[in-house]
Amino acid sequence: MRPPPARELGMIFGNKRTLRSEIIDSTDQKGEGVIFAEAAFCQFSFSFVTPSVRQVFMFVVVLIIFFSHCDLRAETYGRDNAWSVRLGELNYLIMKTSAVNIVYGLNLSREQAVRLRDLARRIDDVALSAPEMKGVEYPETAAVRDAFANLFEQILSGRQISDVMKKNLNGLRLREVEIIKKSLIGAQGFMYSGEGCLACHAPPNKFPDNDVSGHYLSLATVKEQDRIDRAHLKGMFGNHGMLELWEMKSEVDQVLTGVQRYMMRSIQCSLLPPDYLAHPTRVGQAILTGNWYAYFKEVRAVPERQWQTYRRLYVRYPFRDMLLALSPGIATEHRNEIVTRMGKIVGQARRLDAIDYALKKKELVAAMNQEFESVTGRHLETNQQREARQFRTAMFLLFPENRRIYDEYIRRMDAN
Amino acid sequence: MKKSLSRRVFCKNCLAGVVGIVAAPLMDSDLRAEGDIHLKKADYWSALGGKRTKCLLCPNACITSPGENGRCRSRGNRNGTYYSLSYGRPCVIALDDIEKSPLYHFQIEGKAFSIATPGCNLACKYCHNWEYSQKGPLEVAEVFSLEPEEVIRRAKKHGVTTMNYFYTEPTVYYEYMIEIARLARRAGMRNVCVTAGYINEKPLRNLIPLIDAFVVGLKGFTEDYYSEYMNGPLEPVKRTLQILSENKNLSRKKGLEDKDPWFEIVYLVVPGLNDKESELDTMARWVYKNIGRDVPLHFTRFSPAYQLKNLPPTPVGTLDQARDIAMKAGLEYVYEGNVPGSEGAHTYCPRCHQKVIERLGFTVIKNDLKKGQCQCGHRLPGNWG
Repeated sequence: MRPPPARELGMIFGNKRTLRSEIIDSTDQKGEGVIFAEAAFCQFSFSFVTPSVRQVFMFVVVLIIFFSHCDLRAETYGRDNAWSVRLGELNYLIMKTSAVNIVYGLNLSREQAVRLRDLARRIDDVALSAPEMKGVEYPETAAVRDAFANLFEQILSGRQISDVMKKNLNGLRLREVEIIKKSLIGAQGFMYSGEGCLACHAPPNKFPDNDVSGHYLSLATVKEQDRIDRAHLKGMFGNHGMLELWEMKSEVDQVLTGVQRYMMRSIQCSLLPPDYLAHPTRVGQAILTGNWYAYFKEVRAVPERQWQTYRRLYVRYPFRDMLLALSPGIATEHRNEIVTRMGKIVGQARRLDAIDYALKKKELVAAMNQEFESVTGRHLETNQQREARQFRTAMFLLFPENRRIYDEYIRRMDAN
Repeated sequence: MKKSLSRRVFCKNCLAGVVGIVAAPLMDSDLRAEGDIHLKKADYWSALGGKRTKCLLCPNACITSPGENGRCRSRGNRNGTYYSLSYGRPCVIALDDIEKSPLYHFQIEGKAFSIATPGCNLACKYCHNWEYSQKGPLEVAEVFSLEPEEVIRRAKKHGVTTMNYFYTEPTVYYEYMIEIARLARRAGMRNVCVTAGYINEKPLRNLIPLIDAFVVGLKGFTEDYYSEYMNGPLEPVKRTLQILSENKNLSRKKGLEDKDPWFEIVYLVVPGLNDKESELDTMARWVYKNIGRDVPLHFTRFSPAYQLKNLPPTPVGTLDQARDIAMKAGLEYVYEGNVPGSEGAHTYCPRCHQKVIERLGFTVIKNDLKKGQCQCGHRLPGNWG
């Protein structure tokens, strides 16, 4: 019979004759596990009561062997890591493209454009310089970055964005969302730490391997979101730039008309400009109206039996992707709530007859758009305050290198 | 034993086949028209010899033989009788902000029931709704079946109190518009007609009592421009505006200014085509002299469409300039459209110069008027409801 483990322990720590007699005495009455536990306890009790030098020495040796096989050093990624730079480029391009859409969408007068260009010059003097778009490449971000950079140039020069390009951009945006989400999850890994951007966004070697679309990320509180927004801004404007921006927000506000200020209350980041000239409130920003009409037309034509069977293909999956694109860290529960509400709007659209649908479709589309805005606007409740609104306005209108946008805008006005 | 085909039989069969291929569409067209189009005997036409007809609704004065349609595609000759081909068959129905027309001195809040059938008696090269206006009832993608009584019932169901004849040219569905307008009046609703003004005097005078507001498109101010880009003359449009103005002045003299329809003018500014300063000045002065200084004039921004996609959108500076020219000519209410954020989109009291209505696109975000009256006491012209 194989000697019980307690005996082996006894050989290391204690008197083997004492241990052996105890085990023999108790074998008949108790199970082996109990014997082991009692024996081990006895040994340790015995050891702690009277440790010898040899015992202490052996204990220390065991500890050293144990810890040398567990690398508990924190994986700290430095601030200037190439991954941090690549992420910064994406952030910069999204903000810069949103800025050009907003500048063009506000229909500024020439005087306004000139004044804002002067203010933008002051920010450029103190803000961080624009990313150089060179250095160590990461295949995860290279295609997305190049597409966003190309999009900016197209919008700046006034060229139309083709449907093919829009479709491509939607796909890349989803890819970018997945990258961000994986970086956020990676940064929550065991013993991970980083500095700067890498504090929250782990590099690709720390990405989870599995599909993260169903992964839950806890919703940021208002305070946390403020901290996150400040961190993102600091990455683009720098400390000095942010301070200057705060100081200048009132000057920017005074350049705008009342209606332009009103429009800036609901402005959010948007890569694509609208398809037509005059949308009442979301100037400079793509709205999904045209797409919703086509979508409603398609789902209304689906026979009821097919709808019941394949409903998730029309509602759950596409809406889930769209919500993820808007807000990568959205909690599953929150996302499901919104998908449910949007599903009800779709159901309503299907139930109306042709005439009532034609009359109600604008209202239905507005309701769908409102659901999207409820996602991105959740953390902005405090930004309804005037100063916060002014700061956000200044952030877009005085974004680094906006001078180039104003130069082009003024040039086109003068040419016409 | 196989019977061989003789040359004669072969030729006879071929000829029959060719005749059949050529004649079949011609034979079918009347049957399709009868089956798929809702025919309603038209107003304002006269019979000519040989079953030909002459339309008297608009200056096109189409003369048609049996089976032919007028230029508007919405009216046609069937066996010597002239019919409206789109009665009860609208291609567009929607609930819209009334200010979208654009109509700024009428109804500040609430929606209107917009309705349109296919066809138009002009052919504007920049038309945004060309898929409806430049097509006949059989050519559009979709039409609804909606008799006038059902239109009113649906409008009431959705809580709407204004009908808006919009999107295409209401003149071409004259009979349908008249009937809906009558029923709407009876139901306590109001009627708005957004028109190019290309209509003969008699039908216009018959229409006026049923309409509460007109929006007339004055698309340019030279015959050449109208001829080349609208495919019609300018003069009838000017005449329409004069008739509306005469009616208004007559009612004012009698103290019945609320009885006659309110109207506003919209001028789409197309870069390089109708935006010369001299042309704008001439037009503004004509409006001031012949129509009056208090008629609202809207300069709207062109966006590329239909056959003028090669042109850029109107620069905002051009609209600002047009507005300045019109105001210097003496007009009191001059607006800029399709330019969110523009100061020219708001209404200002001409007496105290305060901004009394503030707009963002088609949405009124601030209204300081009380039934058209400013706080300074000045009453702004309009049909404020």
